Amino acid sequence: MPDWIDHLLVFVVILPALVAFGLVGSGLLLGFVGLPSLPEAIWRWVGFAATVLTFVLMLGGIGFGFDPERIGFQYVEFFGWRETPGAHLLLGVDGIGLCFLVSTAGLVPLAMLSSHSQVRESVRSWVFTCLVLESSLLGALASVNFFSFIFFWAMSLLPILLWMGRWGGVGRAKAVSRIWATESFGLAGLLFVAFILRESSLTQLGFATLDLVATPSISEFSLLDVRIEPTEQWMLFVVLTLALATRLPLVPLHFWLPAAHASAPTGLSVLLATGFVQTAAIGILRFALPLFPNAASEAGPALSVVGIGAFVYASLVALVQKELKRIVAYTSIAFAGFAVFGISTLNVQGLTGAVLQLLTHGLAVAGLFFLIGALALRRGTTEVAAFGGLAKPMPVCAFFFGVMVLSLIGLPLFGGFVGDLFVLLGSLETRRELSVVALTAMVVAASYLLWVQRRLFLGPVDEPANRGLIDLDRVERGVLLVLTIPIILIGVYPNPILRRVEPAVLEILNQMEQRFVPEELADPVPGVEVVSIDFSMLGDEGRE
Amino acid sequence: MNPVYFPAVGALAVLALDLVSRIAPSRSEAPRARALSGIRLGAVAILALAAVLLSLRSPASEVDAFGSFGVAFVVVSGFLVLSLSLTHFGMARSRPAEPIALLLFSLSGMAAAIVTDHLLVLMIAIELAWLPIIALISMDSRRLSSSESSLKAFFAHSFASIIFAHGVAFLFGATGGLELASLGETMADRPLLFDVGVTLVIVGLIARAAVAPFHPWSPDVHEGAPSFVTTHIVTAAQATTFFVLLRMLHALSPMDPETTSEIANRIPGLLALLGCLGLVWGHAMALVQVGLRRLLGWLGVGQIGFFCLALVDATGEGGSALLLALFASGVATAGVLAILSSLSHHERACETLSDLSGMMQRSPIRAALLALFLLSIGGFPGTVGFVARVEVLAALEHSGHRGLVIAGLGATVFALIAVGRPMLAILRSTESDPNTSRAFTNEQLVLTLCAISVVYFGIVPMISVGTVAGIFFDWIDAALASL
Repeated sequence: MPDWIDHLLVFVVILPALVAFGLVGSGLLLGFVGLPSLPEAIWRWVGFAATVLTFVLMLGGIGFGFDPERIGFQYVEFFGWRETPGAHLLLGVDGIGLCFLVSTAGLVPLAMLSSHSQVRESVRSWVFTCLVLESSLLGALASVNFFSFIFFWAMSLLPILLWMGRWGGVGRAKAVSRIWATESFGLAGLLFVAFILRESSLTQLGFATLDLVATPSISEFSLLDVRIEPTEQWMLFVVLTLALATRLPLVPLHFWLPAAHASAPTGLSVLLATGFVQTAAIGILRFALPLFPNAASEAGPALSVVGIGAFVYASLVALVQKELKRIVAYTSIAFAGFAVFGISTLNVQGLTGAVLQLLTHGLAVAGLFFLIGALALRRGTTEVAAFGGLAKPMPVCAFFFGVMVLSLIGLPLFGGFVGDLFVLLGSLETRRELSVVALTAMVVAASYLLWVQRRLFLGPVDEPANRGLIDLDRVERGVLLVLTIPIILIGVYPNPILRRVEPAVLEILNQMEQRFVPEELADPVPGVEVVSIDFSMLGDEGRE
Repeated sequence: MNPVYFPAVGALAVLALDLVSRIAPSRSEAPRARALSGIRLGAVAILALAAVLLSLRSPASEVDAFGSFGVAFVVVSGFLVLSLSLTHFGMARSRPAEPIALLLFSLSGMAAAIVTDHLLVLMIAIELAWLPIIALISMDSRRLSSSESSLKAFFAHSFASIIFAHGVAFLFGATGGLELASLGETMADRPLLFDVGVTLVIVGLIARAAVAPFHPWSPDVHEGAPSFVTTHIVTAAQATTFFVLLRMLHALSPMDPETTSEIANRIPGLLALLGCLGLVWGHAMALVQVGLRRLLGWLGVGQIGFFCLALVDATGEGGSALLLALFASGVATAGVLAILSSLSHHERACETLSDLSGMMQRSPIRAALLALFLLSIGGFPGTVGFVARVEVLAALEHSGHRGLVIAGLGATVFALIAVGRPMLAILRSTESDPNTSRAFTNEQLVLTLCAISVVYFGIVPMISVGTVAGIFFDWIDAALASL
């Protein structure tokens, strides 16, 4: 394998940002020599080409070059940063990360394409924003150093805010304020955990590290070699989970998402529901579980209750929504809760199911946002009451809407089914009682999604304005077809994904088992004296 | 010649040149003559500051590494302030001689305060540094708030001076000497007098640095003073006080821990308390401000709280973290003030959050830069403000102050929310007048330097060897080692 393949992941991650800054640099250079800046159309197409190239490299280079038989992270690349804070850029990819990376890299060009007609002013800034957002999301998904994870996590926030604040719809100011405030708390929580981990590694290893992978050029130890006492694990796990839950978003920290989706442009909604949320999920899977196994296993039942509670709550709230984007936003929140439920089972099926569920539901929700965007473009509203009987004027739209809804409700042969099935299988093993509640909540979720489908597309065309609606154009059909293919493929033949995800899940569980601090070896409670017996003093008889 | 004298000599030269030009008026037109005079005076000031930097490199300069770092810090900030002051002189159409001279006198006092090892000299140097600043605050004769804030600053300064002078007197009574370096080694004959003296000296210093609860004058000064004067206060003046505090805390902590005085052990607790108070008070008030300059002033109070937290571990990693935090705060605040200055050239001054509406459409580059500087003040990753906060909090965690780490992180949340308000205002679209004034060249220079510093020291400097950042961090380490 040529050497450059080893650096491919880093190249793919920074490629969009490089192109973005390259475009800005070219503009400055042209301005300096007195020439006009590049036309907006060139910016648009160069930006789009960069995102397509990123996806091709991610799928073709990383995806097909990824060895599913190998345990641990692949394509690990280190950049030396200042050593004292244990902070540097360390990227790598495992089976879980690969799924999310490919999905995000694939959705960014689609998001750009779908926003093509919506963005009319400040096109250059918008292209720059999209490209920086892609690099940030990919960086966060590929980070195997806690500091670089925080760095990319924070970096992904700014383009989101800019996109929404500059090109968003009604209520964007409120949405931006909410996201900013919530994410500030999340960021502080992540930093707190980073400080404690850094200090623990400094105390125990003699040097500060926040790496999950030991890099031979620096040290043979990583953060996974640092012992964290169960009491401290509890504190760190709670803080880290809460910090990540702000973005996931888990009820009751979800309040920013409906407002955000309601005011976000279509492309941004797609990325919010997929890559943005997946960065939080990867934080839980990659950092929270292996680093704090005692706390994770003890908090498992509570986390299951929270996850199922979120699923039920969000599904019920979605039932009474009257606006399409809000319904899908609450669907997204509900399935985030379901994914947390899957993660909390802490077994192979549950964790695998959660990953698949995040992946497939992300694709389906993205599809719904594309369709809602198309409807809003034609009708100027996203109120459910404004539609009805659209299957007649827009049969292709109805078809794709049906595919997405059927995947979301977990119908066999659709992608959503595999994730739901695995989560339920996992829960039957460890959370049997809650799995019944989960099944009931799934029925509620199915009911409101099918109701929306019926209300929008079936029955007579009541509104005169709906009669003349034009069906999806070629670009829109292409975008939705690209989303439908993986949904169906995963539903029919999930093996290629499972082959890559399961080893990564097994590795997480293996790390948890190895790092689990048994109760008898935990630090004694302060003030209680532990008496140790030296058996060698007793001889063989005493030992018996 | 001691580098401390150069700015003062420069100030005298500026005044002399101005006197000559008044005695023998130029034959050219008044505006042209004024411009030429301004250029000449500015050149003299820049020469004086350059002479300071050059003399610091000379082995004959009687300044230790810490003093060199501190003096270089205030002199470089002096360049920025001088550059920004050109806008004010251009707008106010006033003679620049007195303000430039006052600025140079102030820098001379600051340099003397940083390098001195004698309490009496320190007292005089601080007066020399601050009295010109109070005069400069009241310079904007068009605005009542300028005179009002100057008066407030004068009262606050007088209070701090009285406290400091009493502290010096008590210390002399307790130890019989005024050498700063010997404070930690001298076993005072009268421990109570010594403790009271040290406390008063410290309080006298922090009262001048706008540490809560001695801060009420600071937001008023931010609102009333011209931008370049505010920049001078938040960069050079503020940093000088913390340089002096750092030197003093090192002096109070001798090599032999057994000889450490009781008060030296209590000071970190006092600083932690005041730091937390500043964090809470400053950031809470910043959340409800409408005026941009007052918002910046209250954020400054919060940042000073961070500096106090760094001082809790002054003799450990906190020292280097403090120096980095001073740098971070200085460049980011100077950047914001330069933007506000550039947006206020015409009648439609940029004073409140709503004045920022539509900035993203009208002047996207300045909008992006303003967001960058605000993010740095809030401690957002990728900026020098973040690196500085990480260093301060890491030092606190390392020295076992986890409670302060939590307080610092909590304050970061509120700082980020507070800076989010002007950022949100930038994003709002408006149908206002598109004829926004362009930034002058001097403002562009300051903005470029500040932006490069914020980004470079926020991202690139982490590369360990062979970079400007590496040299800077090594310089900080060498400066602290010399204490």
